[in-house]
Amino acid sequence: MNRSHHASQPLTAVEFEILLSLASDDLHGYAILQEIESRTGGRLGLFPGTLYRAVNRLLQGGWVAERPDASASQDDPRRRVYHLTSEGRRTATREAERLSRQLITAKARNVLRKGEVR
Amino acid sequence: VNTLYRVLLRCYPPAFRARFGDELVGAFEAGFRASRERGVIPSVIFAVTRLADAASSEFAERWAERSATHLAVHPSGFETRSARWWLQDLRFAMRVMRRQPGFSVVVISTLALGIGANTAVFSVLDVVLLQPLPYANADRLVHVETDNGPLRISGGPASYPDFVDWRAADLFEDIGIYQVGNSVIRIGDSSERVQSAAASASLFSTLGVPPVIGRLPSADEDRPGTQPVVLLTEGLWRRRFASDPNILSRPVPINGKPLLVVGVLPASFVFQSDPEFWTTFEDDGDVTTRANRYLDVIARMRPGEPRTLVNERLKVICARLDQVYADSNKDWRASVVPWQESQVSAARPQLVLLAGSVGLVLLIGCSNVAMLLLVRGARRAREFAVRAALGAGRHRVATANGKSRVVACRRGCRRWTRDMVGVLVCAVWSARYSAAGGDRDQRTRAALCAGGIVRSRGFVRARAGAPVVETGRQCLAAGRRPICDARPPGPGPRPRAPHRGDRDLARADRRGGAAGKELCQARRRGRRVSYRPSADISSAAADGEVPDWQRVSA
Repeated sequence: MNRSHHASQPLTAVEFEILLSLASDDLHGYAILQEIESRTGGRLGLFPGTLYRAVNRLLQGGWVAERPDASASQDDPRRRVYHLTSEGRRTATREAERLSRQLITAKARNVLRKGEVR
Repeated sequence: VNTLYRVLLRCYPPAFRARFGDELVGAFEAGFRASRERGVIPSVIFAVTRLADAASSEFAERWAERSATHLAVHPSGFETRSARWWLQDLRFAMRVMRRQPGFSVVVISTLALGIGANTAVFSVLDVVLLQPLPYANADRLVHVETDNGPLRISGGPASYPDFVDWRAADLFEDIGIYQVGNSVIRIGDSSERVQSAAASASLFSTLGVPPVIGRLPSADEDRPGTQPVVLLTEGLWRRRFASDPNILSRPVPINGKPLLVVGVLPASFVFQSDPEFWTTFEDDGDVTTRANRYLDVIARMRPGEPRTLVNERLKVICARLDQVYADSNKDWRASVVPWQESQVSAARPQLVLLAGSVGLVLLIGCSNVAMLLLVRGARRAREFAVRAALGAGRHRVATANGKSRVVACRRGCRRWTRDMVGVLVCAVWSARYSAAGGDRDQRTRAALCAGGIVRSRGFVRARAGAPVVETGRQCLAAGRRPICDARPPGPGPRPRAPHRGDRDLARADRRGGAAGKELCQARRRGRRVSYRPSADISSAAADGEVPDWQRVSA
């Protein structure tokens, strides 16, 4: 899947969650899983197979890159640490803005129940 | 579980596996360790969900990779083209089937009849000859048969006193004796003649059959001369006694005598002639007479004890009985044979003959289908000609019409060969154990293994696919000489079939290539020579160049 083809499509929920996880810190795959699980309170149950497929797409899209120095994965040499590229950060921002606009529209049309989103 | 996960990862596309395989395993192992700390159930849930995720992700990844390949066009162009061809061929095959429903129905029903008959007969063969008998340790159950050389009796029954002596000799782990017959049982106001059997209590322990309710006859009750007791089968107990639990210790009139019911045998217990109830032996004078040999003896050998050794010991005991009871045991010997063998030996030749017959039916059906396919192949020569004239190469024509079948047939034949080798190995293995009188269970496993292999799809497919080889050849032949029927209207000789090389030559001739013209002349004179352009003639012609020609064979 080439980059231009992928860039024309909106991010999937899993891809966006991965970008959000990497926005604050560089993480390896298992840490991304744990971070997403703790952040979403277990609502987004992500499995390794799904995660690494999404990571593969993000790597191919150039939004995520592997950090060459693996100092953060001393506990398990098999782990690779990923970081968000500038392109990935821009994409995450665009996606957040898109979702924000959708949220505003949803609020304006009373789609959301009161108190559901502050 | 970790190993299973690693094995499952092998289904991922190689590139994905090389890139993320170790990480996936690492994440799985870490997560599994954490879930085990939470307990057994969480760890099981974790393992099952992650394995399912791996399986589904593999499929998704392979599908995505395949889609991407098709979108991006494979560098060689082969895979994409091949996939497209397969789809085309599939659609074409469906269209042909739809347009010729009679032909399709005949072929399918012929093969279905042959395969169905074979499957049905083999199912019977499997159950009767290959499956072990439904008793505990069925591989160690043997039938004790008697022989008398001077009287020319072999495989005969035994007498009760002989059975008592064999039991006392402690030759077997357990030994029992029985006789199947008819009895009249009175239930309420009605009497009914039913199948029944008399047996020693040890027969049920030999066969490993515990009663559903009640107990087996005690040693005192088991002795002929005491009042016999009854064991009902579960079927009779439910049907005629309404599953009455108070049936135990109640007398039931059998053959005019009230006999005590001591237990009920389970419905899963099946025996030859399906007796409705069992009694212990009654001393009617016949049972205790040593010369009255009319009872069948079943014994269970000790684990690992070879049959030959048991037979040797039996021979010694029988020789001793011969000396002690010369009037009744003169020249009487005993031997053991596997019980299953003694039960099915009469049916074996008929079943094997039947299996061979239906095999021949399938063979005849296949040959009929082959003939039909040949005729249809000959009728489709015009179609092949049109395909070739429209630019389809030899390979494409073969692929569309015969190659897929040839390939399927080759695969089928390969599998068939492998299966046959497997069956032979199993047969040799089985025969070895049989000759050594060894472990019956091993032989049963070998036979079942062979049965499983024979029933595999390849066995059937090879037979179904074999006749289409000829059709494939027909197609290939038609691909070489494609337009033999495409003669122009009017009288005159039939033009020789030009093939692709001729068309290229003609094109070269039109463009004024000296080499092409020369080669065309050589061909028209009937010289059997072949030439090939040194470069792609189409691109050369597009550039306005005349390609060079190479002679490839004389």
